[in-house]
Amino acid sequence: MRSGIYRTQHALTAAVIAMAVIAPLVIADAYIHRLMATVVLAAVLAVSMNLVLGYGGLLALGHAGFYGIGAYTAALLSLHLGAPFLVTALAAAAAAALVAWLVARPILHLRGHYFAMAMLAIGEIVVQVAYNWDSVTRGASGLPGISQPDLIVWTAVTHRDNYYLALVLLLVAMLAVRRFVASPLGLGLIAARDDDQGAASVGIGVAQTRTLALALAAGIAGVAGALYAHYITFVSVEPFQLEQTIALLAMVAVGGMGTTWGPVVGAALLTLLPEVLRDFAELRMVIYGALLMLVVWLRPQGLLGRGPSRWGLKLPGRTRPEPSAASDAPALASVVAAPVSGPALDGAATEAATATDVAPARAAPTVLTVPEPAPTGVPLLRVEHLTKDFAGLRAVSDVSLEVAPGEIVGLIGPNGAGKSTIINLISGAHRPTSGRIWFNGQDITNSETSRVARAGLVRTFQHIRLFRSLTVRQNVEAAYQVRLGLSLLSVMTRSRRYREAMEEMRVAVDEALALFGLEGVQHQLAGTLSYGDQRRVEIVRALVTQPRLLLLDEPAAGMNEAESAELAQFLREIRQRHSLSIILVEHHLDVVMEVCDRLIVLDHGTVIASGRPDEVVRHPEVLRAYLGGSA
Amino acid sequence: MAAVTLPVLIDQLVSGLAIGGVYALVALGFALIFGVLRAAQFAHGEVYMVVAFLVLAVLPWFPALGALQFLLVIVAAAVFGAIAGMLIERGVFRPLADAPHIAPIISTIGLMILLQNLVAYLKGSELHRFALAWPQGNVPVGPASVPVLKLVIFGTALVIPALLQVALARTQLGRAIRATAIDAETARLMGVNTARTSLVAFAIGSALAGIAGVLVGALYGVVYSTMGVTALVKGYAATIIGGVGNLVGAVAGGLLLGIFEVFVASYVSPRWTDAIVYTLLIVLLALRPQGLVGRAIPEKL
Repeated sequence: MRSGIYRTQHALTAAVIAMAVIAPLVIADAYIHRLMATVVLAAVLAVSMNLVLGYGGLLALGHAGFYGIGAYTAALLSLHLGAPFLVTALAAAAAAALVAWLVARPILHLRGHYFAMAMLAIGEIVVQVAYNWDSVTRGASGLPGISQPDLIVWTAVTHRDNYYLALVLLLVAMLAVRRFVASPLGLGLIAARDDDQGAASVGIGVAQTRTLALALAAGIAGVAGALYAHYITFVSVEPFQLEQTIALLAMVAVGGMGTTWGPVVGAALLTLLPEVLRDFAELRMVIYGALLMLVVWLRPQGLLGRGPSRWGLKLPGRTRPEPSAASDAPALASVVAAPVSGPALDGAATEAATATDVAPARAAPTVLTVPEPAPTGVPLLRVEHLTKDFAGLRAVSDVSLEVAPGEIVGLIGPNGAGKSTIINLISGAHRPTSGRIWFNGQDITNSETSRVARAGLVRTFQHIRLFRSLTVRQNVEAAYQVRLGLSLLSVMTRSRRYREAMEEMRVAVDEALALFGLEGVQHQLAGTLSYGDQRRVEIVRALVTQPRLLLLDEPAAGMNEAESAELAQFLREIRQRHSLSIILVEHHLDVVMEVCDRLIVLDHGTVIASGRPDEVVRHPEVLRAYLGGSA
Repeated sequence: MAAVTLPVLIDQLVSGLAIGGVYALVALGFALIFGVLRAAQFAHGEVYMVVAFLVLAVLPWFPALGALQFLLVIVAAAVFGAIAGMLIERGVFRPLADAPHIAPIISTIGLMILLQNLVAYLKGSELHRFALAWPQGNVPVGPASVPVLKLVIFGTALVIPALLQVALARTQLGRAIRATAIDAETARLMGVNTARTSLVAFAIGSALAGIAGVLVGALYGVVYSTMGVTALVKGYAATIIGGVGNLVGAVAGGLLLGIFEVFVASYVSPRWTDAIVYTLLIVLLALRPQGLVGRAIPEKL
């Protein structure tokens, strides 16, 4: 059935391309050819912007700037060195990608509007430089006399020639974006869009992935700029201003962000609209603006935008399940109990054994590989004198603790005791005010979350942070792919190593999903699962990164007694199977008592007791903290 | 380049504070709307432009009686701005409340294009003279003599945010707006009528943009159909410098940006001012991602 859909899609794609090739041969009108070339050039820009905006979720308000960098690079090389189009196009791509890369590195950790502002600033700088650097760019008068696109054996002369050239560029750009997005790197990009903290928690280098996407998008825009310069044979500032970026933004959004064809459709519509409205003369842009508003009102997710859930559009009766503790308890599928269509845990273990038997093609079953044990006697995690102040409030005060390899440590205490803050500090989400954190012999005190995760210290969250627009399987793959360390080149060329890595991932993820009874729901969107299943996906997602230490922040929140008992069982099993250590923050004392080798009790940000669970719960300080008074 | 003397410095500072005051009002309105609706109003600059044109149209009816005319102009700008804001909130933002975040952005971009071209169609795209009877002339400030107009603009840009700050802190509605800005969901659960607060926030934010529009008209003596774009970009930058969601920061960011621009233009290069300002903005963002004035608020995980 799936392949049937694919066949239809491929046939449709082939038909569209065939029409795009044949149309200008049938319609012999230079005006139409010029329009078509303009549409296709805009589509190249929209497709590249879509990579950053649609899949990356980043408001790329400087995209026209990269287009401008490409155009001016090509123009200058052509005018001063007489470089042919092929050379200038490559140089344009390199220049735009380089600027994107250089500027992006320091600012890509920025969120939302801060990032948008930084991008807008880049776009403005390009315009200002082009406009004011008279001796090089000739300012407002521009650079005329650029050679026509020359491909050694053939030169694009007419509008139609240039149209075909742009069409080739568009297809290459679409293929490049498609390959990136469908690759593990693309999964990382989308995961970071859905939840950047969640992505970092499993080791995805959010800034690195975004830099790569931005550089690729800028490179494509740069080539488009080069083609524009050689096609028009003249460049000046106008086409690269903020207005162009805004037009591109509208094209991508109207067509459908994060879709393959959306930007192309949007580019065609919004480029042709002013032409269609030509009879209205000066009023045409007024109508253009009104129509833009109308389209957004009718279809906020864009013309080709898929299901409402993808963009979190809440329609009546389609609200997604929020993991709130109070409401979901009765309806929960428990963490370890069988999901609707999966085997129960006991069954899962057997299932896993079978899965390993069935898939022995790979020499080492990757998910089950146990990281080489840390030297015994040395603590896996050592926290020394950790203190954290929030604007005058001391949330954590001089906390020291150790976790041995293979140990399950419970972190308990009343609300506001500082438990979650400690998890946030250890996992690199927050920076400590003072103190040091050592993990596996490394000082990780001020390391970023993703780096900490790659070192083998992985956390889950009190409020589940899954990648909602990805399926269960893709959630797990997004975490698994980090260790593959694929390069942009291997993704673009689909090299042998890339295909091997993909196969390795497929086998390993199959295995992990089977092991935890999730294969029945693997193609469902993660956000649509029951709360209990979401918890399980989050833990599986953490486990496939092969952590040595797992930080679980209230995994049993909102569970009833039976469910938390099963969770306890589940935690002991994964500890055994993966020989890892666990720090468990939990309010359910039954779970804590059951699984923990040792308890650390916090109150008001300090450790008040530590030891074997049965001893600790009798400790007078602990009783006082929990029950109050002078018990 | 003028010699650096105290009178020159004072003159430059006052110029910076005047244009910075305009940025501050735009930024404050932008930040207020952003805080309550969590959505960027890209047609904010067009409110500023349209109100300036509307006030220009009714200006002949106001008595040219010095400060009275100025006061009437400010009130008219606030009223026109507030009406425009409420229309935009009801017509554009409310219907897209549950839509993807990008939807209201694109819709306001549509509105921006629509309004710009509509005004150009109706009034032409040339510069229109915008002259007020008051304030005129100069007044001595220390050793310098500076235009009263600039001082009045700066004063207006200080008084209005101060009044707003008091209103937000002291009144029931003000507290409701602040609560909605911090956490709309919780505010709703606590009985705040968030539909009304967002309408009010939009009205106030757009009134601020309208006032900024007439002030900049008075400052430069002209208004034109594309003046909103600069206002949007500068207001956006000021909001970012101050730290998103920080109203005091937005005002501080606007004033800083204005002063900085004037000094760069005077002592470095008028031509390269924008390029330098944007470069420093990127550096600032790299070093202090939470803005110059803002404080990093740790996210609840």
